[in-house]
Amino acid sequence: MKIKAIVTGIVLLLSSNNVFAQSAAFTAAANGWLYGDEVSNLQLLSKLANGGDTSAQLLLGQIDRDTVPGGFSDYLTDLDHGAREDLLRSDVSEGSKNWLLNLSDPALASLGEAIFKYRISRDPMSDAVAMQMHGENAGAEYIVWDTFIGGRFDKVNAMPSENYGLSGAGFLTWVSAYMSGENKALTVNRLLKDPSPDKVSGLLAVKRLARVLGLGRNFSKEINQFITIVNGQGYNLPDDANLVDLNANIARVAETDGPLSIVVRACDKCTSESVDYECVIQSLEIVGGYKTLMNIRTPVENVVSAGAFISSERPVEIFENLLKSRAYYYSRPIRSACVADFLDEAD
Amino acid sequence: MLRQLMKFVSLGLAFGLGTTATADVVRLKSLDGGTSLSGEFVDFDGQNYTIKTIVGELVIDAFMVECEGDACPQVATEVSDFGISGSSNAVGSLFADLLFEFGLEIGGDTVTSLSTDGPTTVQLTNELGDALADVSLNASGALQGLHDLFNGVADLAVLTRPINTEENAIFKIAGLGDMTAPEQQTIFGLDGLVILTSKNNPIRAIAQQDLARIFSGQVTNWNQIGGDDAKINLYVRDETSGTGAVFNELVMNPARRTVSDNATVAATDADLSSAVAGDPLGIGVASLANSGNAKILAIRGTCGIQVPATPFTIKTEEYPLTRRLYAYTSNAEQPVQLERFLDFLNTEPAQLAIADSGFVDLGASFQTNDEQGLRYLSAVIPTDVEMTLNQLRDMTANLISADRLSITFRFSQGSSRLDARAADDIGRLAELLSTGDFDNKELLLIGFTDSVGAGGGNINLSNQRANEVRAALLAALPGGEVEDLPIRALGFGEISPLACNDSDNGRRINRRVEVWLRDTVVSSQ
Repeated sequence: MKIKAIVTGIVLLLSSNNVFAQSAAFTAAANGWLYGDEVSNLQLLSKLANGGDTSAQLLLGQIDRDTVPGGFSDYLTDLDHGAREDLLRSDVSEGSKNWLLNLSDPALASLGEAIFKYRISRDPMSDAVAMQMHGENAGAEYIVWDTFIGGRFDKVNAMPSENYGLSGAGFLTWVSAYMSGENKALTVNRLLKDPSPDKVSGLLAVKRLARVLGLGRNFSKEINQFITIVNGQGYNLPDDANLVDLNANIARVAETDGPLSIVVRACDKCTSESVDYECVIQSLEIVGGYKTLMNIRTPVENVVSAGAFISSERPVEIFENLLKSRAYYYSRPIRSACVADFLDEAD
Repeated sequence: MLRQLMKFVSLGLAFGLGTTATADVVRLKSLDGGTSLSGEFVDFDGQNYTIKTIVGELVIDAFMVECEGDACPQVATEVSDFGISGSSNAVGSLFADLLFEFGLEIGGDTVTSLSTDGPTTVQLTNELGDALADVSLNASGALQGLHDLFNGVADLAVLTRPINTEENAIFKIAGLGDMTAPEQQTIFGLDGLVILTSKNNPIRAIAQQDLARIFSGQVTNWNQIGGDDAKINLYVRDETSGTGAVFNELVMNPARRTVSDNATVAATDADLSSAVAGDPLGIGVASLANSGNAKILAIRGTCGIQVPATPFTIKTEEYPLTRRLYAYTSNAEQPVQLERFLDFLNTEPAQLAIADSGFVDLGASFQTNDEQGLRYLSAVIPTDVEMTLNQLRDMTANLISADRLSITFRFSQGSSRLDARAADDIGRLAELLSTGDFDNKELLLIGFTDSVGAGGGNINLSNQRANEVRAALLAALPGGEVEDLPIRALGFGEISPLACNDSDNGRRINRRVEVWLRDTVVSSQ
């Protein structure tokens, strides 16, 4: 499914996975948060949460729990402790609790607990399975991918047999198809023709194992340069790298790749008169590459579907906020006029 | 909901998960500590583990990981030393460089011990610093290399010439196998024998037929070949060296001459080029890799075709004094690290090291049609070639907007049977094409012949050769094709000779299939 198609067609965000009805007030506030003003709509959501709206509770609970998926912004990071508790948490007068652990509907307690506890145990696969069990597929797959990319394929492989379909996660399916296929060559053309929305995460997973599997010679020069960029290491590109082609390829891949579409859309906002071939490349360098992009996802899939979130304005704003905050620690010269202008404006 | 849960559970079981209860599960941890894998143990072939995992069967380099678990096989951990002996040019420096690169590739390091009275030793280690092999390098010359291999003193003999029939027979009789078999013979690079003079010498090219006369002592004065009136000083290598043997094979033997006794014999190619560079009246033969500061002369054939010694003309083996670099093993079971090293020789890092050492790598390079300018002169200069203007026009139309690859396939006389290097080149071309990104291109396989036989028959033969290469290439490509890259076979017979057809070597050079990548972009008309 093309991101552009989603963008043009979407008005509402309701998730196909939602396990409960969503009020019109919530839908309006959440849509406002996705496409409009963050501050006023978070305050609306906070009111709804305090009024017993479990959708709002889940959304705010996850933003409080783990800001980047959905909530990373100047506004939230600049809030003082008390204001943040007022906005995002429950029972503020009694010491405050994260909404995920204090949902009004007791039937949703295990869902809230699964989301709250993700990535805090030493067994990420159990966390992922718990999230998958409740339909939080994007979050669950992210945990599996992150574990894989972190070099712990053994943990991925040892996921429980009762995994609710997580073993068929998109990128794992892509890797399986590659491993069983006769053609091991990995080229940009092959990537462009691949309709899978998980091809980039799958490609990076194969690259992660390429050394011990002796697959290095199967990667074309161009695909290695693409991976270098996507991994946020554009500064390592050879001098003769064709930035025009690389940018065109990234833009085409981004049509089917949610995370990559975020940075492309952010750079598309640049109004520079000349084409800036460094914008995507250097933006990825500054934020830390695809792994950071994978972090920008729907806070709670049961409330806002993964596709609706990615196609909204919110992930682009989160990305821009990350760009600003991480640029502070970025020591290389800024090569991209668009990034430079953006950072100047942010100052 | 319950039904959905059951479906997911059964899906998980179908994927063969629940590994904790399986006794055959092994954990493979990379030596750098960065990667851990686990899976059901399937096989170990001495170099690789195969495990069954959630993403299918994975084949993992056993020397890059530690295996944990009851099912782990016994892996030979003892140091597997091996020896390399042979050409002083290649073993002395190139193989030390190759071993260094190999050390990096396998994740460890190399420690070199130089010895004044024996072979240099290079120790290979893994990422933990554990010794994998001590490799002795004995730059003793081609003949001694074969001797060492025969006697078991070395495991690999490196030659800058092919083993000859008599030498091979000795190995066969001793039960050491057919050294020319693909399992025992590896062509790992190329080199050119270059004719050197001092940079002060005004001559730029030399006729191929004059070489034997000069080096046999029949021609003794520079004015006999267009130079000043001065005596010619000869510099050669010993005939047992690779340089000496190949020079005899390509130049002296076909002319039924021997090298003059008055020639100065240099100990190495580097010594020779240094001596020639410093002697304004000197002329010598050395490898391109060791040409030093001397001037390299182009070679002109009897029919007028002139070929400079460049990496491209050597890769295509159109330069008449091109030679292949060979590594030979016996048919005995090889030390495991030597097997890995032989596999490594065909990889990009190894080929880069070969190029960096001054030899010519086997990797494909491109040359535009513009840079192939001599091709058209060469097509019209020889008088023994049957050619029409239409044929030349047809060839030109096909080669416009095309780049030629250095990979060139050669054949035995009158046949469409590919030669020893061709099989490796088919694999190399298949890999290049399958890992390339080609838009709006087509691959042309263009056959040519020597001038033996009738022109019409040669067109058929060249077509047949091009189709033979096409079939071999398609068989080597994963899936039998390169998506969106049409592969077309053409034959132009004898119309584009790259060497004179009056010698065996010249005819061998002309019997070929060239590889071209052509733009398919056309105008809107």
